[in-house]
Amino acid sequence: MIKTEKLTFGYKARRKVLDDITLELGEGHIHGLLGCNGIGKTTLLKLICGIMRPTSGEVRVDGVDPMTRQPEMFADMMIIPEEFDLPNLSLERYAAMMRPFYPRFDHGSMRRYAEELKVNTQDRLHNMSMGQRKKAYIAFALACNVRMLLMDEPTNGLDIPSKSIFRRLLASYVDESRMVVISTHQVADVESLLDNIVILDTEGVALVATTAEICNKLKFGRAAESDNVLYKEMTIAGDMAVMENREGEETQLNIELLFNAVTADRVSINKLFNR
Amino acid sequence: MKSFSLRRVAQYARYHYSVTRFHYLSFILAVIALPSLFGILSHNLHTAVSMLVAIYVFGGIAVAVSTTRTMRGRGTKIMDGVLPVSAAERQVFNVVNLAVAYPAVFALASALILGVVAPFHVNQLSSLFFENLDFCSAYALLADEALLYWPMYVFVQIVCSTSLLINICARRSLILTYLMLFIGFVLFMVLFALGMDWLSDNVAFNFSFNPDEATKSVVENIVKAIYAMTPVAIYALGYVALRRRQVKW
Repeated sequence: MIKTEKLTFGYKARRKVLDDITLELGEGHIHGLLGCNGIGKTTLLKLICGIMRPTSGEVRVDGVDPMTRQPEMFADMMIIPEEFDLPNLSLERYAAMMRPFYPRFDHGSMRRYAEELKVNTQDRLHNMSMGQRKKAYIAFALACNVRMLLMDEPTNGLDIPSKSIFRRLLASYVDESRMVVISTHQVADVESLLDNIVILDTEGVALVATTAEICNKLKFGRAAESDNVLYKEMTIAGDMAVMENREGEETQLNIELLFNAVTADRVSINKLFNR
Repeated sequence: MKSFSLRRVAQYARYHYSVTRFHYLSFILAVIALPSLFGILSHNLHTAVSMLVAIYVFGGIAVAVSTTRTMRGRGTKIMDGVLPVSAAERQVFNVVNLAVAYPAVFALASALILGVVAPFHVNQLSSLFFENLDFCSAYALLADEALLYWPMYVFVQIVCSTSLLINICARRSLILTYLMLFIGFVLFMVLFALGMDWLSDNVAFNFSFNPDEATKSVVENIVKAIYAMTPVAIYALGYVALRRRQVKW
């Protein structure tokens, strides 16, 4: 369980990046961390990992302050950063070097994931393209079987077939004891995976809700005259709207539309969720 | 899981050397190549020995930079920051790397260099015995000047520990940090010299201190102890800095 309480952080004393963030991210979910550029999604991941100290407030990972750098906590947590540099080894050798740090690492699973993502585990990582290297690291990270997997823009650089394989692997990875936090702009890539949405804006947490709650309270699509439209935008497919779901109608969640709606008017949407 | 385990220190050492092996290899190659080349060209083993001593002192900075490389690298710092290794385990590795591994590898490299340079230095007609003698005397000189002479070891450790501390604390450009600190140090020395000059000109010292031999010996021992403990204190400061360290730049 990851908990933040009134978390505030700024790279400069007078300019806060995150302000008063109170969140609870539990196991058994794939959490989507959404927000505009520079809003502090990556910063929040770094704070959760304890590689930056909050200005005020606190972060707790399983009740432990991550800044204390407890090896036990980190053996159960892994981050896939947006940009990373791996040593010039093959994935096999890299895994052999890293596996003592992760007690639940499974070499067989890594080979299977790598095979599915079409990564040759014998190739040197520096000889791979950026996308290949990312897939190799994803295969390694999944094989570590950590309880908390944090990902920053994981689909950046992946080709189209790899994105769908990635979705499949991630869906089968999460169980009751594990959680995945994905910070991304590419919502379309992970839309079907996310079951808890966290939207950050300049004022803090704009929305936290499970996809079930969202679909229960909101509907997405073309608006009829009788609908209570909360947000509307022109798309190629015509006018698309976010509406209050009074009738309990089932519609497909459109995260991009939801994000735009929350960014445009967080108050009306929050009113619905706080009722 | 305990917060300190020697097994994890060993695992971290394995990870560290695998990731940074090219940096260490380049450094070792430079250590071997430069004094060998100068020693051969000058036909003087003493040139190689003097150069080795200088490299031994300033090489501490390069080794400290390599020791913390994964903690600072743009693409590695986040992954390094979340490795399941505590600050104490990291610092134990850092200290062992700088205080034990570095002098040991340096001693081996020096033996190799002098072994390479000695045959070039000795007159073609001299016997094998003299070659060996020359090599041995040069190595003894190096050992006496740098490797076994404890104040020299402590001085190198002061350089290493200070550099390690700078690497842990530096937020932005490392080169700029070193440059600023160097300028600050030079300024301090100049002001200190000027201050002492002013004091001697303007303040009449009406006391004198003429210690007896026993007091001299006690004072000397205290100074030696403080000197020997300086790198220990700086390494301890490094540990405190490492515990508070953030990936911020």
